[in-house]
Amino acid sequence: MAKLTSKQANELSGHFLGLAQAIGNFRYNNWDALSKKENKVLGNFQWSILNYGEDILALSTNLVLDEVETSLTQIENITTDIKSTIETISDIPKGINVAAAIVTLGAAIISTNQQAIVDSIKGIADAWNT
Amino acid sequence: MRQCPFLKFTCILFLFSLMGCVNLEAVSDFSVTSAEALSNYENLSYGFKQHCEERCEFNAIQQSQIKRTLDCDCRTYAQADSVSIKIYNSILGYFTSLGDIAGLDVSGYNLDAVNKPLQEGTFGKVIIQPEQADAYSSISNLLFRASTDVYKRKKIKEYIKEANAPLQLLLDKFSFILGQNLKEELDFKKERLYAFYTELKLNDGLSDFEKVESIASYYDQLLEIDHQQEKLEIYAASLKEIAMAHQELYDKRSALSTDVLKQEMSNYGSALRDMGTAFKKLKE
Repeated sequence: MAKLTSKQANELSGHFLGLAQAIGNFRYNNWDALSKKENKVLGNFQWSILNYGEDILALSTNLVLDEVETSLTQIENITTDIKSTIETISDIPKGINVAAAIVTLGAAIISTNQQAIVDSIKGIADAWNT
Repeated sequence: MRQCPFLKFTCILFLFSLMGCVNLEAVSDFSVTSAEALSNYENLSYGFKQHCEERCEFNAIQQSQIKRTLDCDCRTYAQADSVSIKIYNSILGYFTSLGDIAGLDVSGYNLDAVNKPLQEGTFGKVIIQPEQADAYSSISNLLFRASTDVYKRKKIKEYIKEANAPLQLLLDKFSFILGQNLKEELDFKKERLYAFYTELKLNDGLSDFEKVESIASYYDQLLEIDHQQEKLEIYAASLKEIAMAHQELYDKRSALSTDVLKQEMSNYGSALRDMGTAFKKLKE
């Protein structure tokens, strides 16, 4: 048997509402003609049908999950990708500063200036940590 | 005729500078407006579980039951809320990220930090003159900003392309859940009230004053439900508007910075803002 879809469940629920309304109208139109017991039985049917109709709408919503599972995963993956691209682009200035600090260190090493070398190493650490 | 290499270079530079000025305002503004419209979900102040709990309370009143605790089995309804929240978070997350990347400003990026040490010294046999260093610095900064912008634009185009199909489905289902399922739950609530008050009237146990009071109470509740349903309708309509706008972005993804698209996105944005105002009015 084919699986019930969310749309079919929604339509089904509409029929339950219509049915409950029809029973209700029948009860109200024949209020005095119906015995107390008959009225109670019909009333219980009416309330139960309303309850089922509402439950079916909630069920219809739960059925949606199966229908969108792949799409949910796709959108979530794209969102993660976007965030990582933002991080990459945002990290560019930091990358430049680190590269610049490394170039400065290279120049300091060539100059054999001890203090410049120490300062440059500190510069790399600073650039990395900002 | 011999072409001037300088002219060629200037032309290339000009093209790069144009690309560097890519304006993604349309994407950025639309994403921000969509995220704002979507977040009205948190102002709906109604959900499936709440509906179930209220029904449970109503049934107890209707049957004149006094219980120590209202024992309601609302698991299916709570699950329906969690499905809605899952879809909501997923769509909102996408638009927030799309807005973030489109609005990411790279105009301040420059290579001065790298250029500075180059200007300060002699590199092997190469001696860089100050004017050469300045020219090199300006060109490299321009190319660098342009390439970062082009990269950003290329990625956005890719994301819009990949996201469109799943997003359309999610928006459609989210609209179905709220604009149909949840709204129709309220039709049941209306019917329940109608049944309750009709029975009350037909039972003839009320004084004239009590009858008037109960009818007034019935219409007050009916009006409240109507407002709630209207909110859901507006929200569902805004989801459809977002879907149409994203489809437009997808169709015109190769021309994201054109004025035509900017105008179209601005129209969608205005429609969403109008819906937001109507939604707010109902909330008050």
